[in-house]
Order: sequence, then C-alpha cells, then structure tokens
Amino acid sequence: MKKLLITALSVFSLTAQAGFMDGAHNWNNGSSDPFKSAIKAAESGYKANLAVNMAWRDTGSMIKEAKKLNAAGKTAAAVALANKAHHQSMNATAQTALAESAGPRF
Amino acid sequence: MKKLITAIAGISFLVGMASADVDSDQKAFINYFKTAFPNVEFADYTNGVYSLDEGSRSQFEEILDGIPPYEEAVEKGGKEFVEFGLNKCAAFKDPAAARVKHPYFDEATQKVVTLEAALKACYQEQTGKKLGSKKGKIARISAWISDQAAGEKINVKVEGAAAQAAYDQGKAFFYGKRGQFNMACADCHVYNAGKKARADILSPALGHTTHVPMYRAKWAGLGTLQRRYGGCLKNMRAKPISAQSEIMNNLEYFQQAMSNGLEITDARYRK
Ligand code: HEC
Repeated sequence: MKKLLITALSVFSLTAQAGFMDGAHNWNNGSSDPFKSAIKAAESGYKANLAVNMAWRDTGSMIKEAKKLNAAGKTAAAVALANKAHHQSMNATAQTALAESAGPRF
Repeated sequence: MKKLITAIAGISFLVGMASADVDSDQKAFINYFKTAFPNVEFADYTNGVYSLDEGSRSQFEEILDGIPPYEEAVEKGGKEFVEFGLNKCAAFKDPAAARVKHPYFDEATQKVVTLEAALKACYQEQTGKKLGSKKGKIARISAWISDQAAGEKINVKVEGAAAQAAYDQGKAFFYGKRGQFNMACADCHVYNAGKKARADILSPALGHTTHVPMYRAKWAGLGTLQRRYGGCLKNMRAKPISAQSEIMNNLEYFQQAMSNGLEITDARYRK
C-alpha cells in the first residue's frame, strides 16, 4: 500500500511540475463575474473528462454544490469550490494522456 | 525535468506494448502471477481471492459445501429464462455454448457483445421490455446460463484489426491510472494482488471472469461483472461508467481474454 501511495504521489508531483496543481491559482480569467468564469472552466473540463471516460467521482457533485452556494449568495465559497472542481478536471485531463496508451510493466 | 523525460520514455515504451497480441499478453500476464505466487496452480485462479488467501479459504469451502446463498436465485433465473422465452432467441438456443461464445467481437456492429448485452437484446425482443444491467433478473438469468457451462473453459477470441482495437482499449483502461487516487485496476489486482487494502485481500485479475455473475455477501445477492466494475471505479474515486457501455464491454473483453483457459465455475461466492 505504501508503494502504491508513492507511485500515486510521484505522478501527482509530475503534474505539479507541469503546473497543474497550483492550489493558489485563481481561475478567474478576467471576467467580471468570478463565479461565472470559474464554473465555466470547471464545467468544460468535466465535460471533456466525461467524453473520454476519465471523469473523477466527485467533480460533478462539486460543480452542483458550487452552483447552490452561488445561488445562496456565498460567492467566495462557491468560487473556491468551482476552482477545486476545475483542479480535479485538470488532473483528470493529465491522466487521460497517460491512460490512453497504458500497458503492463512486466 | 529529468524525471519527466524518464516518465515520457517509459510511456513511449508502453505505447509499443499496447498492441501486443492476446496470446503473448496472456503469457506475460500468467507468468507475472506464476512468479508472484509460485504455489498457486493455474486452475485455482477461478477461486479469486481464495486462491491466494489461506485464511478465508476454509470459510469459502464451507459455504460451497453447504447450500450456497445464491442457489435459489440461480434456480429462479433458470425458470425466468424459459418464462420470458429467452430460449427462443438464436443466441440462447444452447445456453452453455452461449456462455462460452460471449463476449465476442461482432464484425457487423463493430462492437463487443457481452453475454448480458445479448440477454438484454433477447429479453427486449421477447417481452418488449427492458432488462437492467447489474442485478436482479439479469444477474440471476446470466448466472443460470453460466451454470450450464460450468467446467468448460473461457475461450475469448480476438481476431482482426477492429477486435484488436476494442481489446486494446479495454487493456489500456485496465492499466491506465484514473480517479482522484490516481490508481489503475492493475495497481490493486495485479501489482498488489494478495495484499491487503483496508479490510480486504486483493484478488488477482487472472480469473476475474470465471464465476460471473458473482454473489457477494456485501450485496446479499448476485451482481454482474460490470456491477463490480462500477464499485471498484467508485472506490478509486473515478466516476462509474454505465454498465454495458462500449468501454465497459471492452474492459470485460480484455479481462475475459486474460482468463482464457480457466474453467467457468458455478462457485460464485465472494465476501
Ligand atoms: C484500491 C484497490 C482497487 C482498485 C484500484 C480496483 N479494485 Fe477491484 N476490487 C478491490 C477489492 C478490495 C475487491 C474485493 C476483494 C477482491 O475480490 O479483490 C475488488 C474486487 C474486484 C472484482 C471481483 C473479483 C471476484 O473474484 O469476484 C473485480 C472483477 C474487480 N475488482 C475488477 C476491478 C477493475 C476492472 C478495476 C479497475 C476499473 C478495479 N477492480 C480496481 C479493490 C480494487
């Protein structure tokens, strides 16, 4: 199990080097409505993951929850959650490239 | 950066591997398990985790010695098979042969046809209604059909470029890391088979398809192979994919092919 964790972590550190895991990054791309741009990024990423059967389990519900928070006026929490969902979709996208050609290591 | 390059070099090596033929794939697959578990006979892999875990083996054998908890359900499946006229479909004239034939690659539709897919189509043809994909009726009927083939060997064929492509896709799915835990099926069922993951000992992927649909104590019932796929995907924190979708069927195609030569068994019990 420890070994498993290490491989898992090393792949994630690779994606981190590639700039996917920058937790402090704000996905607001200049739009005046920070939630709108954050949720748009999350949704389009998730949709792309779904199309190639690589979506993560919780991304969809995070997107839903973020929308609920936003509707309730909790904008900061909504943006944070939408960004989290977007992070997940970015990591799933990074996995996709590797998974397409994966094979045994024996 | 160096790390990245090594990773990329590793990947291109894997790309080369991805399209090997089934026989050489299976040879390497079996050889892996032979090396990891020199004392386990090939034929014993039909028993899943119990082929590796001495501790729970006796409990498994005790259950099989008595009246297994799924016996009634499988009998009911046999009655349903006739009741719904499934014996009238060409695909199920000979139920034992049907179990051995599926899954196969259908050139006409360019898709893998699983036993459950054929059952769903036949059920619809006969009753005008839809049959589920994971549990209940379909699992009972599929289990009864498989019972008729007990003792026969899995013999999945992958012939032609399109069949090979479907197989390759299933194979990549099996070995590819996915989900929040960044794990592959193989991480548990190949590289860590026999080891403990939380409260469970991990079964070897060799033999994963010999006893399907399986009975699970946790489900208190029967479930199809693809029902199990959904559960494992969830545990990997990947989004489960619909049972009987093309990609799940390709995964099953690959998994069944890796179990070629193993006996189909009616010993369906799992924890
Ligand atoms: C985190 C580890 C883990 C991963 C990754 C995983 N599984 Fe499992 N799987 C389990 C556990 C635990 C069980 C129950 C014990 C057993 O039989 O292995 C199980 C059971 C199964 C079974 C039933 C075995 C039997 O004998 O009835 C199948 C089939 C299966 N997994 C297939 C898969 C596939 C396909 C994937 C990839 C989509 C996968 N698993 C990914 C942990 C995992």
